[in-house]
Amino acid sequence: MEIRSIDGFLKDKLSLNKRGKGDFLQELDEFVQWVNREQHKSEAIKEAVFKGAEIPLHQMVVEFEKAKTALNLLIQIRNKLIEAFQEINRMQV
Amino acid sequence: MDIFKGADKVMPYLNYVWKRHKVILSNIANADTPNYRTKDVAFSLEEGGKLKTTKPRHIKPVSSEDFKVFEVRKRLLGNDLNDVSIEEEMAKLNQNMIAYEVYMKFAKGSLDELNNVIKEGRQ
Amino acid sequence: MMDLFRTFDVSASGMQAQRIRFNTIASNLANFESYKTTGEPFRKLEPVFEALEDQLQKELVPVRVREIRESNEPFRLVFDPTNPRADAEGFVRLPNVELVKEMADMISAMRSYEANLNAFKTTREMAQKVLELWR
Repeated sequence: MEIRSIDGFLKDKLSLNKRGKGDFLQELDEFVQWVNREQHKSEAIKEAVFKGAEIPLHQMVVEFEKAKTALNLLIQIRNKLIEAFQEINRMQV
Repeated sequence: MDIFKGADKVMPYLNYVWKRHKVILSNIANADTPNYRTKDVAFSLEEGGKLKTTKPRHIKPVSSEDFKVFEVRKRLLGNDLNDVSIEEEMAKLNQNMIAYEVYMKFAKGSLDELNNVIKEGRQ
Repeated sequence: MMDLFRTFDVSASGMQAQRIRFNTIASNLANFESYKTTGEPFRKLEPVFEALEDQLQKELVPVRVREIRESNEPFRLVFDPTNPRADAEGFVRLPNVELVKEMADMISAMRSYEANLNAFKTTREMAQKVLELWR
C-alpha cells in the first residue's frame, strides 16, 4: 500500500475553508453581536414601556422571551467551548 | 441566525387578534351610541407594500397598520341607526379570546422548544 | 402596557356611560309625578351617547355621555278638573315619563353594563394568560 503524505490533502481542505465564509471566530463574533442586538431590543422595549409607549403585551412578552433564549444559547455555546478547550488542554502531546 | 422564525410567524396573527379584540370592545361599549356602526378588522398579510426585507434579520413589515378597521354596515338597523348586536359581539369576543390564547401558546411553544434544545433536554 | 390600559378604558367608558344612563332612568322614575319649582312638569332626562374615535388607534372607540338633555316629548295629559294645577279645560299636565318605557330602558342599560363588564373581564383574563406564560 502506498503511503501518501496528507499534506496536499490538508492544504486543499484549508484553502477550501478560506474561500468559504467559515472563519470560526468571525462566525462566533457575528453570533455574539446578534445576541447583543436581541438584548438591546428587549432593553429598548423596557425603556419604551417605562415611557408609556403603547406596545401590546404579547409583543413585549415574546421579545423578552426571545432575548432570554438568545442569551441561553450563547451561554450554552460558551460552556461547550470551555469544555472543548479543557479537553484539548488535558490531551497529552 | 433565524432561530425565531417559528415565534415570528405567529406575531402577525397575535397582533390581528389583539386588534380585533379592541374593536369588539369598542363595539360593545358603543352598543347604545346613536349612529355607531359595527366595526371589524380585515386580515391581510401583505408584505407591507413597498417595504421589502433585504436581509433575513430585518423585521418583516407586517405592522398592525396592515389590518384595516372597517365598518360592517349590516342591513338591519335599530331606530337609533346603530347596528351593534351584543350577542354577536359576545360570541366574537369569546372566539377571539381563545384564538389569542392558542396563538400565544404557539409562540411560547416554539420558544420553549428552542430552550429545550439549548439546554439539551435538561431543565 | 399603556396599550392594555387603554383597552381597559374602553370597557370602563362603556360601563360608566351605562351607569349614567341607569341613574337618569332612576331620576326619571323618582320624578314620575314631580313638578319643577317653576310649576312646569318635570321633563324626562336622557343621556346623549357619543363615540369618541381615537386619533392614534382607530380600533379603540370609547363612548362618553356628551350631555344629559331634557326630552321634548309631549307631557302626559290627565283630565282632572278638581286638581289645582288643572288648566281652563280641566286637564292636568304630568311629566313625560312613561313607566313601561323606562323599565324597558333600565333592563337594556343593565344588559349593556353587564356586557361591558364581561368584555372587561375577558381582557383581564387574556392579559393574565399571557403573563402566566411569561415565566
